[in-house]
Amino acid sequence: MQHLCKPWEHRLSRRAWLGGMSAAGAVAASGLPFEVAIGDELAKQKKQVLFVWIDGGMSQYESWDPKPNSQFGGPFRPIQTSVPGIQVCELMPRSAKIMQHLCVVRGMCTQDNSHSAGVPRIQRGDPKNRGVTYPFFGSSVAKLIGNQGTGLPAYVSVKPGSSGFIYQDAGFLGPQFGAVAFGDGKPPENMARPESVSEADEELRQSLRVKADERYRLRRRPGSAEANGYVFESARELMRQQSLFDLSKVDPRDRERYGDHEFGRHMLLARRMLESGITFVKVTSYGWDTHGDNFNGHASLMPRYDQAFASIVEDLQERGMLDNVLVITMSEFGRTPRINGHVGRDHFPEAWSLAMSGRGVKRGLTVGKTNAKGTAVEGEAYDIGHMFHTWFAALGIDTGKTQFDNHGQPLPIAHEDMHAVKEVLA
Amino acid sequence: MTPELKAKFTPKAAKKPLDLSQQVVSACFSPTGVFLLAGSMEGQVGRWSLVPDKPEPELAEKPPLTGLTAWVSACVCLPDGKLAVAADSFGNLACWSYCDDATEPVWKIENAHDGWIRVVLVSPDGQKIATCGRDGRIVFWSADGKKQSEIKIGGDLSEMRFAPDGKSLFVGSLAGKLSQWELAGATKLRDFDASPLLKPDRLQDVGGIRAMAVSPDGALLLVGGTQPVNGGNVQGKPTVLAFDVATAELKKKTELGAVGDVYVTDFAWHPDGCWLVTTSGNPGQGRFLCWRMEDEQPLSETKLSNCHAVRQHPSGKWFALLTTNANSNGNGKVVDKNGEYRGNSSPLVVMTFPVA
Repeated sequence: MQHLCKPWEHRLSRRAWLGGMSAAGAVAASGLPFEVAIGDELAKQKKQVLFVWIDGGMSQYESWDPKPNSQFGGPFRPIQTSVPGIQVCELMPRSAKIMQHLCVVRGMCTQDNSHSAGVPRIQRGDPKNRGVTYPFFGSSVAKLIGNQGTGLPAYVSVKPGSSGFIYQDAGFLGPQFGAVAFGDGKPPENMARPESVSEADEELRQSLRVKADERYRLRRRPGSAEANGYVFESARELMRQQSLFDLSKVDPRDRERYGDHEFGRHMLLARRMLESGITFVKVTSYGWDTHGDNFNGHASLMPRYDQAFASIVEDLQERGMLDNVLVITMSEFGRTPRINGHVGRDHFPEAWSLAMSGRGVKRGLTVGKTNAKGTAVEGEAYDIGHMFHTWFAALGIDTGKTQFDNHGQPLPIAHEDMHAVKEVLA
Repeated sequence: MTPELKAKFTPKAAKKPLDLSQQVVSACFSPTGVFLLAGSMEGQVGRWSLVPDKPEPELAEKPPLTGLTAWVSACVCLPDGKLAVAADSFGNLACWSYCDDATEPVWKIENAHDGWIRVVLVSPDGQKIATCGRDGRIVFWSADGKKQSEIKIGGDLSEMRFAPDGKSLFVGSLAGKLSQWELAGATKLRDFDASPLLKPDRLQDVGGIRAMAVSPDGALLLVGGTQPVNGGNVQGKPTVLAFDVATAELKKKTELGAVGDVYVTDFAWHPDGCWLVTTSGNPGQGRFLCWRMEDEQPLSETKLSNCHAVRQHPSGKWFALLTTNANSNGNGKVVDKNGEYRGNSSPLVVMTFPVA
């Protein structure tokens, strides 16, 4: 299991773990396929998040906030969406058709225009500096909501590149709330039980491991052994559900709808993970830092993004999951109005957009706006702290009453000088 | 390459570039050389006339031609010396009488294409206007704006040139597809392998055909672009592929810069026997090259901030280079001394070769 994480890095209440497993076991005993059963019986109470991270900075002009016929508007046309009066860029025709499910925030104004600082700053909610490292939103949700009895990791990340355990996301919460990353949408290596080991032998091995854990627990601080066990049990549950990763078993029409490309495959896998009950699924797309050739770049990038994003929102709606799954799609900032000599747009945190759907969110509207040229927010501007309040509220977590406990130090879960955006909340 | 030849093709810049008020994406001279038209990112066709009897080319601004929207991505003057046709990125095509004071178009076709029209050409006999763009179609029009025919090719058609005899044309796409089409039967004559100019990188198809030229004798097809290293902030070496038209064989691949120099953006044939080439890369990186295929090194190289196109004056005595101002990039909100958000501009650099 070392490829996932170091056992001593993990802590989890065995009681919570056993509670979770018993719920999962009850579902299994019902004779229904696990995914379907979760979907039918438990999903209504579930709180889940799909977090679509567009790394590098999607241009708001070429997506959610077109400014046609203006100095910085760029070459693309706006198109009408399914909601009268709301237009998006022509590069996202599929998303335009599902605007009745979406809430677009066009009034984002954040503080950091660099990737290296901006990415973690945004994903940690940019709280006041108290000398501690705050958790990413996914880790916060993993801590505050947990795995909801699935036995699966609460926070997973589907991304291009390498697999592993991204403990850094968890900040002061501790590594157990980090992300289990499925690089290139593949399960961790050596996850399958070797054919040479029978199921019975595997059970024997596990019972021996449990006994060893028990002895280990007696000689360690409280929590260490539970964390150790959590790793093994999450891994075992993943072993049981390896079919999740096998997209060849998915309806070919779904594969076509999501797109035969990296992002499409990853979003389809994300849907299956949400169906399996995982609390927080993050999907990352790289390659959006279009300082050069921004327009041809977005002409290539956006249709693939649009295809997969619209497909998963449609599917969540069709499956009745959109009332449970909070969907967020965003970057670390937008892109500059001015068009540089490399026909690119640079980083622009001053006025940009993100989009949401699903649990707790009003649908079919835009919130906030930019001026005619897109160079500044008009009216109230929203920082990422506002969004963290909004997202927690959408998930039923009261940011006024809920705090993190950092070894006895109470810490707010979102920037205390900011608030939820009421216009967004259902 | 002799010192004399190098000296002949070492250009000299006029004292001051003409700073066009809007960022420009296309330009053309009138056949008489009296007018310069330039299509902007703000839906205008800027118009200038040459001030007579000046020691260096000097341009006087005239009222811009209106009627298009978004980016005026292509413009061309017809050989009659009176009409010009331009197209925008919203798919509209318009024609003006540019010599008089009128600013409204003589005719306009809305949605001539479904979206971005990237190229407008006039056939060598002056009888046809050809347009192509993101909708994958080549459409032929008469000078009075009547659609004559079309060829459906597919893909995002980024460059196109007529063969000198006007019987066929070459078309290239952002996906790196390159082919020659016979016009009478609308049939494909041959494909060319321009794959070095394309890299599928994650979700992005990077590169493609960005510049095109046919040698005066029709024997060689040159396409320019980059050999992409990555998408996003596109990087790559500016590269020219030279094909034998008759066989589609790649005769030569030439790299004309380093990775940060990125794209070959334009070609023009100088009648004294060399190619004028522009490159544009990372903000501030751009060059104007005088280059012959047979040489390892360009005859001359002039650094210019983001050089997007070269247009030769019909007199053959000078040429204009479309560039972007220096310091055009930067993260965050960049404001001028009045606190206004600052855009960029397109200095038009006028150059001459030494008189023999």
